[in-house]
Amino acid sequence: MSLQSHRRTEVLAGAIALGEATEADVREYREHLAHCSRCVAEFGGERELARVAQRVLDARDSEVWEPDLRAGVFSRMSATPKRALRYGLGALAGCLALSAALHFVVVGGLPSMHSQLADPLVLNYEGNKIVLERRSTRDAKPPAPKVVIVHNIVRLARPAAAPPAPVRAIAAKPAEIPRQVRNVAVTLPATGASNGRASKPVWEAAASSGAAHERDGGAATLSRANGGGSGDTGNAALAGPQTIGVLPSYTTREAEPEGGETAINPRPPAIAFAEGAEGTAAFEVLVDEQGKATKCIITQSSGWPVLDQSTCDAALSVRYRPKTINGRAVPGVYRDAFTFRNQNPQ
Amino acid sequence: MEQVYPTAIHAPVAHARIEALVREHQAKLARYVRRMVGDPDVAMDIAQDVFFAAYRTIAGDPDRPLTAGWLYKTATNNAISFLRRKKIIRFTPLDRDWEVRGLRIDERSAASIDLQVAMSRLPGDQAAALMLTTYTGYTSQEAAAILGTTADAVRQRVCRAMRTLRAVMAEHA
Repeated sequence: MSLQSHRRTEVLAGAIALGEATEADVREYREHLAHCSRCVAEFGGERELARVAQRVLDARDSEVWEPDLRAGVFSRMSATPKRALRYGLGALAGCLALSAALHFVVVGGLPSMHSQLADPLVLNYEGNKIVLERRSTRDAKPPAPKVVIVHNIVRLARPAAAPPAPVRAIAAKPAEIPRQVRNVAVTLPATGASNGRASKPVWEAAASSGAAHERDGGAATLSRANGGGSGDTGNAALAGPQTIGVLPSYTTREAEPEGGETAINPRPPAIAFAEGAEGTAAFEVLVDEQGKATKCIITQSSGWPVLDQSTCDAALSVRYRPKTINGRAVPGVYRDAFTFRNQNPQ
Repeated sequence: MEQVYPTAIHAPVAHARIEALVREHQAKLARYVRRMVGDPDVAMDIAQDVFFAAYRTIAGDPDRPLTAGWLYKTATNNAISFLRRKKIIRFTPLDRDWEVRGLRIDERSAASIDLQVAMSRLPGDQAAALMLTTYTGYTSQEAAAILGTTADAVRQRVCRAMRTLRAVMAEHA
């Protein structure tokens, strides 16, 4: 039996149960049941359908429940005008609030639509004349002041690099002379102060043969040795004043903010720029061994206490890397400056 | 749904027509809904909603004919919506008497209990088709108009609902 045939049988069974089936429908249903045991088991014959339908009628006839809905329905009907009035008042209040909001937005927020056109810009593009016009700003609101804060790259009031330590003349000890070193020429120092960093002396050593030894964190001893000298080389083997310096080889790193110089971002209040506050504020920050800023000193005031105060607040709010000498953290000073300009975009 | 409230002119007419409708159909409609949802309190709420919806309809258009079919259509839709919401927390009862807790003691005949147990197992569309035709007395054409389907579809749903009822009857024969 096909699925369509079973569905048709369900329709016929329903019609028979409802008493709406014709003789042809009943005959078709009987013919289907004669060949379909599944439908016989599920629906049964005509008498079974009638018995089940009668069960529903018996259930209906056994009911005696008589609910009274009039009180509930009529109370809701009488309450309807009050609810309508409440909804109406709510809608009216909403409309008034929306109208007020639109009024403030239109009056206070939107620019004027009747400004004049001025300052046309004329372009010639492949023979075509293009005129660009922009609106005049006469009746427009003045633009908000644009604040420009310049971080001075070259630090102010940086002291000159310390001169190198004096060369102490010593006599080379034979036992400390590297045997491979010959003809050591020492070029004196080129201090790296231009980069604004540490005042570390830079020593250059060139050996004609052999190796140059350099140690960080300690004193390196360079000496001039004779050729192929064994351990018994003495002062007599050296030509001329054979003295060489004991170089102060140390590594110093100045205190600086974690994240670089751009980590300090002073934010003066906008009212200060509205009042025309401008100037350069140079400052020093005392940094302890833990990298904590302990004190901020304005070394050059901008002329506006609010700018100086915001600069120091920003400088004290960041974390620093402490100054180190040969890897050991010591208290240090970080110097920097900020220039505040009030630049109008126009 | 559009909120329609009676005007001063239409209110007396609407009240009179609703009162007549309530008097005539309240018992049958409430029993029909009680069979659908299995709870007399919910059935009364749904029936009141139906009559109140009829009141708003008549108040908006006093000349509109409002038949019993309209009431049963609205009640069927509300009952099916309730069953869909209830289905989320529905569980299968182990006790047969749990299904007939909405029936009064003097209504708990074997036929009534069988029908209510079968109704609890039927989907909403089959339950509505069975109740509208065999219980309420509408023809398959009228029930199809109420349910928004065809007469053959109603007969098929009635057949499947009666198959479930027959199985329930066999369980407790």
